[in-house]
Amino acid sequence: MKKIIRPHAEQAFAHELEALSRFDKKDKPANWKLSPWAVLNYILGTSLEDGTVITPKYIGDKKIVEIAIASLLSDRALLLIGIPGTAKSWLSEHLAAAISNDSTLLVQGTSGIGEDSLRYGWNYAQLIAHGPSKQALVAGPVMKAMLEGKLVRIEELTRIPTEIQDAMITILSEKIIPIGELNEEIQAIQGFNVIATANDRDKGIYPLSSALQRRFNTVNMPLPESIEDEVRIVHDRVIQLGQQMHVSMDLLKDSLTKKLVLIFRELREGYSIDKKQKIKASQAGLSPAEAISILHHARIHHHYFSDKSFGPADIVPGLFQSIVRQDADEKTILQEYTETVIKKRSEFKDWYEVLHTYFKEK
Amino acid sequence: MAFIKIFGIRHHGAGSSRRLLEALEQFQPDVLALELPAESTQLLPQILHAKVIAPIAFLYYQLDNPDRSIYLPLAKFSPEYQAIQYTAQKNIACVPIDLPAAVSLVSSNFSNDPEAALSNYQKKITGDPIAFLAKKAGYTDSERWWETHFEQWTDHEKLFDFIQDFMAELRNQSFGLDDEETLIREQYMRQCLRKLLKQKYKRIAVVCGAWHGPVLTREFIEKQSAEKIKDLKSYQIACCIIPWSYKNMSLNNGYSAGIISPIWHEALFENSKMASSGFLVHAVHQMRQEGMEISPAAAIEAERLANMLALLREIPVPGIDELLQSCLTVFNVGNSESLDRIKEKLLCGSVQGSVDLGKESLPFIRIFKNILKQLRLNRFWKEDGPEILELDLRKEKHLEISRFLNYTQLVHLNWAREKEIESKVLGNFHEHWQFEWHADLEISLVRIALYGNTLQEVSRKFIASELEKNTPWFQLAKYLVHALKADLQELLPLLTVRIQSIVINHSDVLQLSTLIRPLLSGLEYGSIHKIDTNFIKNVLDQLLPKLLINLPDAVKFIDNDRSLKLLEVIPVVQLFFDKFKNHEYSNLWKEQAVLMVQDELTHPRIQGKLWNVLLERQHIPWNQFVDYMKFQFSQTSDIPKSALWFEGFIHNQSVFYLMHPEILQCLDDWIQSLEEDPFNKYLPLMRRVFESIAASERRRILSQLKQNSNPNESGNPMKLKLDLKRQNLLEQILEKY
Repeated sequence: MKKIIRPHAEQAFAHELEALSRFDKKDKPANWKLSPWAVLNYILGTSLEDGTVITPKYIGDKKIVEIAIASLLSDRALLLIGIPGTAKSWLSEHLAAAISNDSTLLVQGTSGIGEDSLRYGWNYAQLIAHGPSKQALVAGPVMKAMLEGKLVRIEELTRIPTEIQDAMITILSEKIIPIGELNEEIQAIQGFNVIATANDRDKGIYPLSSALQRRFNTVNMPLPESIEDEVRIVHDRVIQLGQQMHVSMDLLKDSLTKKLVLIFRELREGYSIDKKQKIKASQAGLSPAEAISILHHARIHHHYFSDKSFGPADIVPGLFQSIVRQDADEKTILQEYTETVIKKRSEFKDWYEVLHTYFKEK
Repeated sequence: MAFIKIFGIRHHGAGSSRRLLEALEQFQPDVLALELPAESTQLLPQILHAKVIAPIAFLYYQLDNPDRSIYLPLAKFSPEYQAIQYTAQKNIACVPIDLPAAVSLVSSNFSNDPEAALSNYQKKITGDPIAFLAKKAGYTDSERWWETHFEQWTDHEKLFDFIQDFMAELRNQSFGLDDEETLIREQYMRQCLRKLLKQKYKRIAVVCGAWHGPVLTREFIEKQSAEKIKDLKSYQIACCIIPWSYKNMSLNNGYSAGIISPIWHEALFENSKMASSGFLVHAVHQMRQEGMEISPAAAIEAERLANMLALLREIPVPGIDELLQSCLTVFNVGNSESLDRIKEKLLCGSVQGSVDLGKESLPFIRIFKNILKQLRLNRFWKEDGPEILELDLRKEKHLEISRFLNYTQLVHLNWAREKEIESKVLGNFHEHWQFEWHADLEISLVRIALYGNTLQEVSRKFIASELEKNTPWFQLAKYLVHALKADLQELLPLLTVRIQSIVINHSDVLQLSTLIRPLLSGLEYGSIHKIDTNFIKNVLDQLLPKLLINLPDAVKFIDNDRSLKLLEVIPVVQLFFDKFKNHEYSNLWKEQAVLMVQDELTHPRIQGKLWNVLLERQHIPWNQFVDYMKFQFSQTSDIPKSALWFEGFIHNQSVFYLMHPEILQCLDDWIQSLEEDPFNKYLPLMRRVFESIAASERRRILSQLKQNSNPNESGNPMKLKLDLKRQNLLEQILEKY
């Protein structure tokens, strides 16, 4: 049987959604597949009367999810903003899956995007044959969502040039798309809304015009507050990815994840976990997503190319690259950290040896 | 037989305040007993005075030791405040029944047995039982819990009966959950009520914290009729009303019985149905004041979001949490840092009470006035008093005065300032103070007095609040010096650490240089009075190299305006090294200065100044200067640049070198060589330059010039062909000044 690499959220969690909907007795807003409370439970995880376990999709501040759902209820568009790796797209996908049972209406923001992608395009064969007509019109994801009363997701809104972004203004404030060529317009039906995600720190972003910004409720996605949460996020996700790739499971010892996350947090926050030592902070964007990717790659690499037991030697190359990648200064930061912090910790002895030799060779 | 009715309230509870008024109206009492220290009787009439505007606080303090004190804040929405207003309107007696503050201030009156003390958890229940219950019910905003549970009651008296039963049950369940102080206070309250019962009153309303309600009922009073209060010590105390602010009422400012948001309580009190809108309107106003543009439409959206959040959290109406979160989401583009910045304003606004009577009873003000008397400074603390006071700090009394005057400067009481003594004939021990009294000082005094009760406490808290703000650097350095001169040792480390961290983290030359003068005066004072000033030396050891190293780059590529500002840096630095000739960094300064005069990119104004400074200290040979002058003022030179150079050179009237015939000649030649157009163009600039020189100096220059131009008299070999008409014209102009 052929298997899809990455099923959509509503496919992967179909049984959870079905179970939630079975027990959902509360009011649903028009065209919502679940009530707001069931959506909240879907995202935060719970267990239902019949014993169905709803896995948590977002680990962290409950308030964030509540505000996100409340924003969608108040029919203002939702903007999730934050540095890379704070589960913006992840949350938006699951919200769309739970509310519209469809997370496929997606516009991926790029700097080369045209207004067509946000509004509509033309089928040129039809256009030449019939002239501007409904048959020749190709609805984009936004228009489809308006017609069907669903959520549409716009990923990386700030990668879209500002003048193109502004095409969203009419859609958000008037809830229509005018089709000038046909002298017609598409009106959104109830249930339509927009979830956009944006990154406010990266290079190469276009600022949001204030006109557009005003039309969004903005939720700032924080990095995980506690180390326990962060370890859990990284650990669960790596296991999940491993299952998809059929990489053996038993290799990932919990303490390795914990140590990697600890290094990430200390370098990110600029002080040691006991807050006793100041550390030069790294600007490399060390998010949980980065840790997940390092660990995942380390495991695949180990699975195919190594016969020793899984350990720091597999992880350090990834760690080194993700920190040094952007800026040569970061290398000194990591080296300083290795020599001043890692070296002193007995439980990091194996890490230190690997890191130390790695720097000597480079 | 009189009828007693208990009205159990929440301190600062807006909901309970409104219900109380309605219930009192229904009950129609002929006397009202209020849970306030017994001494409050004298304060009650004052609260009704038109010039007393809430929020205010009742202050009770020990006479000999004002540090020992109790504050009882009252806002418009406080039930106690409304109760007092009610009694005034109805013209009925208001009787404070709580234990006198004179007794409760004596901590030894109550057992300090840690076994008997309540745990924090227990304190939470007894302190505000309603908040405790609300929290148990899943509410983070206890006012909203009150609202949803009690607001639909139409019979106001029944509501208070219900609260009474509720509390009785709670107390039954947790019997023994009270510390000795609470029990004694309740005994005392019962005693007072017994006295009231013996009087003519028919309907007695008792307004007290809900927790106490069940033990103040008639039945309970009668049951306990034999009880005796144990012997208690008391202090001699005084009390007064002082202005208070919403900021001081909030939980975040160290007031343990405080509330999260006084503004929110006010909105609830004014109109509970419209409270969300009321709060959001306030929030929008505050944010606009902060420069954020927020439209009415956005405010509507925020309220909708707050309602949705309440719906999702399954509470009937949004509370302060929902409102703040929707402010964050809708107004603040999700950035919690910028909300944190104005959070205090959102929660507390800038509401400030005022009390325009009996200020003297504030402990700090009394101490202050006493000191004025002791130091015989009274004659300066009035209009048209003497203006100058000369002090000789070798005299103990004078030193004390100087310390006190420095203290007033430290806490921004703009009354006296130290004048610079021009001649040092009198020696370093002398200080001249200039006084200027104005009526505003009395108001300033009240403002300062609110920081605390003693001189030390006030200065400590004042500086702490200044350190929180974005206080200019030189101001911090001034505080340091005043603290040193006022002998406030405890403030020195605080200020030093802050200044040090500024010096480490910033490299703006202009700002850094503002620190030098105050620090220098601190050093001098220290060396005269044999005080350890190593902490200042340490700061300077970090500051000076940083300043000197950054200076050459700071004076390049700058416009004329900035060069004017930077011009002031040079004399300050020079002043320092003049006073400390063999300082570690003297050589560095010399080297950097030479570097700057030789660098073509240095702004000409700064260059001019530096030349003068270097010449004066003989750091640069005279003939090199003459060569430079000739080069700088050669006929093909850049005219504006030369003019700016010249302005810098004679900055602060340093015209000494100008008198040198060789230099003057050089300048004279240059001016004469100018074509008419550029001459007219730069005439205003040159005029400005010359105007800055004192008239007498100008005359000397003129006469020197005349000598120069008259070869017969001066023997100058240079023959000048002067246009006589022009010369006369110029002389006329110069004579005028």
